[in-house]
Amino acid sequence: MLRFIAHRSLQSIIVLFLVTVIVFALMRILPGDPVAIIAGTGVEGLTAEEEARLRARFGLDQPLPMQYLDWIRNVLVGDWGISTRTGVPVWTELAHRAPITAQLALTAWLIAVLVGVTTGVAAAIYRRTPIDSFSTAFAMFGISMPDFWLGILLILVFSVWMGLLPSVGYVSPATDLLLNLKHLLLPALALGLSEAAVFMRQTRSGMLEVLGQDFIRVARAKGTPERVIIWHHTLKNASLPIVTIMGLRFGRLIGGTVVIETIFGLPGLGRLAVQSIVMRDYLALQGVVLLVALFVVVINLITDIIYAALDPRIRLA
Amino acid sequence: MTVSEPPLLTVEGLTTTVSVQGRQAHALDDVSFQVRKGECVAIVGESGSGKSMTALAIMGLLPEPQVRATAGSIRFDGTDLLTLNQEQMRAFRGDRISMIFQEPMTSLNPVFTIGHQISEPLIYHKGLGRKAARKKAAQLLAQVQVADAEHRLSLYPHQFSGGMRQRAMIATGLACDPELMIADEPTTALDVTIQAQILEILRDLARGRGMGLILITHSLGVVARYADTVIVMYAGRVVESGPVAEVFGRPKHPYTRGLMACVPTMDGDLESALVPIDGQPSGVFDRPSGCAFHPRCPLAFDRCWAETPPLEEFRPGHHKACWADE
Repeated sequence: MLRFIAHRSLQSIIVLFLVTVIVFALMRILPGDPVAIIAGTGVEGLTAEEEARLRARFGLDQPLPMQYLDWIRNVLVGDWGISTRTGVPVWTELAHRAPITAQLALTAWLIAVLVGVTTGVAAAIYRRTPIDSFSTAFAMFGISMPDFWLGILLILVFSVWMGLLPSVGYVSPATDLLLNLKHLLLPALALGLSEAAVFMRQTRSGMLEVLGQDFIRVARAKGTPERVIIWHHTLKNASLPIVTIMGLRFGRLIGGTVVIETIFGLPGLGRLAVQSIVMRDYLALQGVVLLVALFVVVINLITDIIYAALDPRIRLA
Repeated sequence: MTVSEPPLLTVEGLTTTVSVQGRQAHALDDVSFQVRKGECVAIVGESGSGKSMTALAIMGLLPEPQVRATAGSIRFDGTDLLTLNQEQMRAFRGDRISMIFQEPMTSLNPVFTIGHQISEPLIYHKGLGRKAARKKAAQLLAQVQVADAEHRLSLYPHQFSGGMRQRAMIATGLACDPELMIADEPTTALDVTIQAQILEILRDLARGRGMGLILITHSLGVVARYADTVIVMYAGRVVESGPVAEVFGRPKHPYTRGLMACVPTMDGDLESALVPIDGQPSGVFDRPSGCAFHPRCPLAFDRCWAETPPLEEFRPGHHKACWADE
């Protein structure tokens, strides 16, 4: 098990390295640089010397490989640089915003798992009944609807028409937990329901496949209660692909926060990413992407470990 | 085995109906037989003759709603199992009646330990705690001659060979000390040497515990060696039944004779070739009229495709369903 974890961790480091190279390169491909943006937005235009001085200060006068190496070297010792947009250390900015995105993503993911797995199990047990048709229709709806459209729809129904929940803004859970959850519910639903649809389909097909296996008939022949057969014998076997999908979709879910945070006005990492791209805030965006990648990689690592814990054939292989 | 004692299991007139896309047919038709304590009853027949379906009907595990028991009764210790609902039936399954399936490689759940799977019936039916159940499981595994049973309880199915898996299945079936055990082709998937060991374990345990055993097989050799009574099935009906020595000594139904003619014997005359039964068994939806065997029967005459012959006792204990040779 330890060797397995070590092996997967090594792979994760390689993935993270590639992510840093790609995000660094992509930002440099975009036309303009932070200094050009600052020069453009300033009240008075900057002189050529002033621009050159700024570039030197941000290290932008260095050749690209040097810039990259500098960034990586600093990140490794915990210095994520200074945001050219706000002048605040990138790390401070990230530390402020990451919990918001993490809470949103985890809530959305929890909704997706609860709704997806229960409807999937129900659809499998009540196959070819109205329950199955309804769940399948729900899944089709969830997969077809874009997050942002669902988000706008939710705002319209629950905030504008019914006035039940706030449409924009964020309150820290430390200030008021209930209000915090109220603010998070709609964005989490918008983000989670389409993922729920994906989990539902995977759960349904996985459950149906396992329910047809010989060992389920054997379990019935043993007099195993139906409840234990469904939630223990069947779901544990069906959960292997479900857990894989859950891990894989988590990355997508975090990607979805970029749009959802913008719609719902949540000051999370997604919003920071958008603002940083607009302002060509190289270090801030690199920081966001690296942090998110780290998060996704860790989630996938955990997924693999859960996977091994669930299936003895993987663990002992 | 005394005749005066009431039978453990009495199947009478059991009929199951298969419905597929609006078409209906009787998969089992008027099946009747009895099993006594300590008796080994073998059910033989070709694939599709209804052997396994009979077993599933007794267990209440027919794949409803496609297949349902529509007539007859299955009386077990005074209770008609067909009148029970799933929850009442569950109390019997694995406790008083247990079943071992054909395919040991897929009969065990890959994500649970062997120990857990043997323990399950003890936990559900006897209310044992995990520890007590595990202790009993170790004894059971040792009883079916698995060495180092204690240690092997912690292993997973993929670490077991086919023969060991089937032993684990038998141990599970025996866990609650059932009065009746159904073994559906328990050795078909195993090596010949393992087959004999498994069947001997089953027969000895049945005799030792006074447990009724229904052995479903298509091997007449197995029947001759291990069973007390044999039931020959064809196209969902019992065509001949009786004590093994009697049926093998004086096979009456042409189908039984046909089956025996296609078994090679070690001491047989090399010149006498094996005689296969001509033709194919019919499917559920295209059963011939009258006696379903008549298209393949060398003795068939007019009456055979007009009327279905009933199962009649023509010698003490020996039944046949055939119009020929009355």
